[in-house]
Amino acid sequence: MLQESGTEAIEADAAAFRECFNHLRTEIGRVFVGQPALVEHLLLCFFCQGHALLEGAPGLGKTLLVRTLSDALDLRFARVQCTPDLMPADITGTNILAETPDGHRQFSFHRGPIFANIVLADEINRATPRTQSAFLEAMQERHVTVFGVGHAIDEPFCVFATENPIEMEGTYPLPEAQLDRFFFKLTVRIPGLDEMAEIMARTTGDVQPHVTPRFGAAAVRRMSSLIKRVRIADETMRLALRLVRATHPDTEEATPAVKKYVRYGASPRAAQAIILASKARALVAGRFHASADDVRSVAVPALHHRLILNFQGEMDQVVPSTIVHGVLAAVAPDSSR
Amino acid sequence: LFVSMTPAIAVRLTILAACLAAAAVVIVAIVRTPSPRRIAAVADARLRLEDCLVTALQYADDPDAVSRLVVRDATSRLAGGSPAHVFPFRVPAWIGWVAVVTITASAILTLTGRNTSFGVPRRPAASSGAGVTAAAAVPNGSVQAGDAASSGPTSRNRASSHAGPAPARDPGNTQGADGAGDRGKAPGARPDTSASRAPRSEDGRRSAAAAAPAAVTPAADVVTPLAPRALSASNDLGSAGGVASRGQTAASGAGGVSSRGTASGSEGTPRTGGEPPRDARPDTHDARYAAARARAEAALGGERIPPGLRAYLTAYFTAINRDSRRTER
Repeated sequence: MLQESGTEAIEADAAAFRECFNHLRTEIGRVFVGQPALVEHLLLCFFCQGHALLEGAPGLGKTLLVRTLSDALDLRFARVQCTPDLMPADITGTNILAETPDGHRQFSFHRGPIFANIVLADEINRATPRTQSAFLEAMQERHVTVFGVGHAIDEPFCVFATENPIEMEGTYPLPEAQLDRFFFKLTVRIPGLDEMAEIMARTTGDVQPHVTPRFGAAAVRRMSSLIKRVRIADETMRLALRLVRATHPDTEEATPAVKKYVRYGASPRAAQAIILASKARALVAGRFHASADDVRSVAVPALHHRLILNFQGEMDQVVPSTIVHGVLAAVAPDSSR
Repeated sequence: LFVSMTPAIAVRLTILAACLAAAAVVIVAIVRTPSPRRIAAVADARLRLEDCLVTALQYADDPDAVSRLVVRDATSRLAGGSPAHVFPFRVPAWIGWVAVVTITASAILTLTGRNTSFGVPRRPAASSGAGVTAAAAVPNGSVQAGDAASSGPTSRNRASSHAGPAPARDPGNTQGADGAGDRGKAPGARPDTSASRAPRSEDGRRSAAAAAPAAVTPAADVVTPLAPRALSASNDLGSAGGVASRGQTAASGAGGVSSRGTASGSEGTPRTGGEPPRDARPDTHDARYAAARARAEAALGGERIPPGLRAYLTAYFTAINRDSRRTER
């Protein structure tokens, strides 16, 4: 009886998760036109409590997308416009001298924007490496240290950083270590003609789309914990691991393109991202187990920003996602068992 | 190889081959049997279950609620399918060749086996028993002599058909054993001779021809192609066999042996083929026996003779040996 109630509770949570996911898709779809794969990957990243790097030209709706996500879930949202003079304290917060009601003065910690549930680091590559490292600790450790005192960050916590791939002057490209902290790297493409027409119709009229907030931080935390309970078979997990290994030029699974253009492949963190996102995708599909299709569908956003190209790759201006697609085509399902 | 093979060896080889084939099939089946996980993976792929079965198989023993949900999901998905749909039986392309080879081999073995009856070659136009048949002596293919004249058990039923083309030699011989009855069984006859089962003639007595299968006829059609010289040696002893029976029983009609002293009154009947009467021949049995046996042994040593026929010839010479008959008596 207890077990039956356990399964029913899990099924109820899974149903709530699917409802929440569909709600977000719908609400974002009201504001953000097109690119359903981008939206799905963004939501998967959010529910897996990962951080995403959104890359796209200015004006494609990156900030709007993240903002809509926050609004639809009724979460705390913070936006940081990164500039070269942005200091770490502007991100994490700092101690300030404040006066207490009884007239005493003492230092109190003033929380920075990183303590929001969803943080949008706009044009993060314009911040100095020092400021970027402030994000680094918060993203990885989920707490910040100010004057030797640690401050935990409430969950859910996600950093969505944006990058402008065109204008690189005066920027500080993110180091590989920090790139690896991002769960997904999502590319926002230029909308098509029909999509653009729809955007014009929505944004230039007198009726502005309105997002309905639902759920909340507690529901998101419960859903995130449910994702980790989704099962994955060894064969499926090995497929993800082989995909990651295939991005390393010195492994036997490496494709010719990897051996030619890649200096260093994806880290085990990439495999964690793939498997976790696969579980979330399975839950969205109404399953309690991840499949090989789930793994393959999330491999590109999880892998392509983790490939470090060599000189030949830089010279030939190889797109890492192309290499990942080649890896996906080359790596077959595990049939050793 | 199969012609010269004894039936016992052939049966053993067949059984051995069958056992080896069965063992090979079992080994191949064991080696090629996929693991349950592999089967589950194949079923997942064919039914597009998105790794449902593999995951359920892995977490089948997990008491966690999510694992039970996975197993339940797999069970429900499999409920509508049938194993025949997932794993349809497909006949491999090479099985046709296997069938062709099997049928061809069976046909070859069958055709080869028709000419081999326990090592004794059979002739379509002659009875077995080293080509020695009483039917050969039947002039008109009468049933009395022919239908039971063959000494070999396998050719017994064909004796009547063989009797027809057999050269007419001595009409008197056909009834030469009248009155002999069971006594007409020649001493040289094989123990398995059909003399005792020979049909009786009109007067109820057994045919002498049937009673004397061991008597050798010089008819050409009784010579087996596998051992012509050996059989010709034994044929030369036709009279010797007749001599052996002469004076003891009346069963000497077959093989051109005159049935002197028989109750049917065939004595004095002229022989066919210009063969001289027995009394006119140089009658030193031992010498003729020795010469014929020597020729037979030489032929046996120099020709490829099936073991069954070899044993038969040996038994024949042993049987017609006067000394051995004395011992038996």
